[in-house]
Amino acid sequence: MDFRVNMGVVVRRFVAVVVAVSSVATGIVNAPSQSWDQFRGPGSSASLGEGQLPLDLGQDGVIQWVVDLPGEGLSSPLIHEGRVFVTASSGPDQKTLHVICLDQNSGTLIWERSITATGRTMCHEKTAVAAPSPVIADGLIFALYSSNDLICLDLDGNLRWLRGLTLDYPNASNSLGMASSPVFIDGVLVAQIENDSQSFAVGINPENGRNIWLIDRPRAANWTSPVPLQSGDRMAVALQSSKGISVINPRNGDEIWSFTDGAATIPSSVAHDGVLYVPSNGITALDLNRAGEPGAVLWNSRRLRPSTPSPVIAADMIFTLNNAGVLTCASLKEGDRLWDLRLSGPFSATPLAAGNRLLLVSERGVVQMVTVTPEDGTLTSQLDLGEMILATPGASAGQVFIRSDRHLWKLASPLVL
Amino acid sequence: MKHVDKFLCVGLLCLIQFSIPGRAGDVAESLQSIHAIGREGQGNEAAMRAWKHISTLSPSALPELIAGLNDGSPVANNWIRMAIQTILDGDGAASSLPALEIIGILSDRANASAARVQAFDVLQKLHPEIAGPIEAVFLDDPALPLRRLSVARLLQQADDASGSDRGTAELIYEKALVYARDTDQVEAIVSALNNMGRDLTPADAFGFIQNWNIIGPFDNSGREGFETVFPPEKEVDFDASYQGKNGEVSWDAFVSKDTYGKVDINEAIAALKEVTAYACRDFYSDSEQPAELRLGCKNAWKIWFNGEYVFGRDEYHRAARIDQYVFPVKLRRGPNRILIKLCQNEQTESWTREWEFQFRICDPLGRPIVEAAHGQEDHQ
Repeated sequence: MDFRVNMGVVVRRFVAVVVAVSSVATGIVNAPSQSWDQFRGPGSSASLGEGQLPLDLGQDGVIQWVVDLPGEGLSSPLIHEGRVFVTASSGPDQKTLHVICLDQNSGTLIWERSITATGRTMCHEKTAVAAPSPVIADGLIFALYSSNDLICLDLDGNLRWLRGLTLDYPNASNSLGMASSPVFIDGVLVAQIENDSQSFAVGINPENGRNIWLIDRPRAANWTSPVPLQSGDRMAVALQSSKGISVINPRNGDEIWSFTDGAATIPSSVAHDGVLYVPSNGITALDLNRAGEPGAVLWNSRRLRPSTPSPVIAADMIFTLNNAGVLTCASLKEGDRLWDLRLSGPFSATPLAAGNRLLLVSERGVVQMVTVTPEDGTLTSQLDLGEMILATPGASAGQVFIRSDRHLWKLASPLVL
Repeated sequence: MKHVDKFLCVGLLCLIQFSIPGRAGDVAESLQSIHAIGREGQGNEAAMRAWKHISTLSPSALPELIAGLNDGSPVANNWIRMAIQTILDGDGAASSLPALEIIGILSDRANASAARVQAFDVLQKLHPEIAGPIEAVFLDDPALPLRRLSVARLLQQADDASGSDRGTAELIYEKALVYARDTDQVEAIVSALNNMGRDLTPADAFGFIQNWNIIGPFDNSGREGFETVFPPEKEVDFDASYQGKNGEVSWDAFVSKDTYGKVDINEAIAALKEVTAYACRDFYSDSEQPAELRLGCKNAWKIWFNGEYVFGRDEYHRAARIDQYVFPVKLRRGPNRILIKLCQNEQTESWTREWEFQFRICDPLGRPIVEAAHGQEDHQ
């Protein structure tokens, strides 16, 4: 049911508004396809290759297209084989849950699917039921929502299976909303369903949607997302909570090692080059090769204070954003603070990193490009999209996809895509 | 049935050019597989095979699929909805849609809300020229998503009239209040009527229960009170006294004066931390009838109905709202005992001060049930 029409809002759905000069007119050739298959993209790192961000946000034509979305959401857009996938929630109490698929080049709608939420949809006004980012793997997209509804579709929109996890675990909800994004690792979909009342992590068989394992987790609100990583010689997944980090075997849910010095419940950890950088007492760097042993803590810095955005790594530096919109840079090796840069904040979205550049999107919709060196950071360009934006962008082949509660934008350099 | 005739006529006029194609014969078996989905994904494999089949059917199968929403669980119904959406994506879905049958499902109130709403959605997607005029006829509809459409139209009419004809606007708002069930629409109506000078509180409109007996404080140190069985969980004796956290406690009557009907335990007992209280009352029904207990609370709570435990949540200070939790029950004729346990934790932030709840009893369509006068039920 299209409630926007019922409310008298005249909105043309999914009609691309080409703001920039078309790629045909400018002779732009698309770069090779890259995938952005989960929250924070490859390796949950929010990192792209060198040069994989638009050069100048102030340049005419940097907005390639903008389309209307069918509902609210904080989930990241995913980009896969020429298509963009977005989840949204709409209608009274956000009970209608959407997955849409758009053409990456044009923004044209390819397909849309929707279901009715089977779990609680109550959430804080600043978040949405479509808060967790979906994940794509093995030709399937898995879309989880704050209501604990979990949809598995193939990439052409055909249903594989559905779960209503609140029906199975009736007290698993957070009245402020849930936001943890699932990951797919070693053939298993891993989701953290953590809250004050009924908290668990579950490994789900992608073939049929049934549980492979389910483990109890600390009963406390938690919005962080699992992080896939290599621990020693095996694939593992780090589950973060207020208690710390529990690294588990994704095949059976067994704990491999743990870090018990506490951790944040909003920003998530990031793994890079054998080290897990955990939002714990500031940032704590854990050596994954010595995990679980004395000496695994490489460094700790309380001067790095990530707020909602997760830390991001670029050019041998680690960056955090605090509540005041200050970007703090520290050395990756020692954690020494190198510099601060006050930006136009506040921020909820995790920045994207590519080479020595960061792309940051403030809650007020100001997209900011910052060039970073060990000496300083410089704001080089910015673009005001004019809407509240809380979702971490997706990116692929020099193209950045940013979503608000109403729109999805594609940004790219008009000259180098 | 006047409303049914009205939109059937509209539909027939619009659809005279459509024929009714045939449908597949094995849909029922596939629906059975989907309906059989159980807890934790049990039956998914069979449902996946069934879904592959029904999602490739022609639009002629849509009435049977939509009717399949009459018998499905919430999860099963989502499987069926996805199949319907896939079929509607096919070429020529609009021209081959068996619209008359779909209108028939929509018009028959014996069908489940899920089926009728889906029927309307299909019409809205493929034949908005039919769906649009029909929107107005759902004012007393048991399918609340459909009723919402008609109420929204009334609210628009009232808003349009409010500038030039205040009396008419007020009448329209009053009419809308009779039929509105969604909390946002009820709140909008109350606000509009208040702006017109009407003395109406949300507590009146929503029918919150404001008279309670309250006892406490009992202990909740370390948040252990939630699982601790204090005397009111063993027996409710309004004349009894017990050892509480800070001394002897007994039941006292309390009447909420809050415009939203919130029962403030801080006011009833005292602003305390790490404590537990109970609120209890008998709700008199003049008949045996289906009902819903509707609770809003940001403290940890448990609820019992006629001595039976219903549900509980050990969550503190996240958020509360009207009808946050809804539990279907059957009221018996005469007194029905409601017991609510309310725990307050140790947090000291200003936003953790609240120790309160909001409660009403509605019929299954969300209309507040008016409590029978005590004793009245015995004379019917």
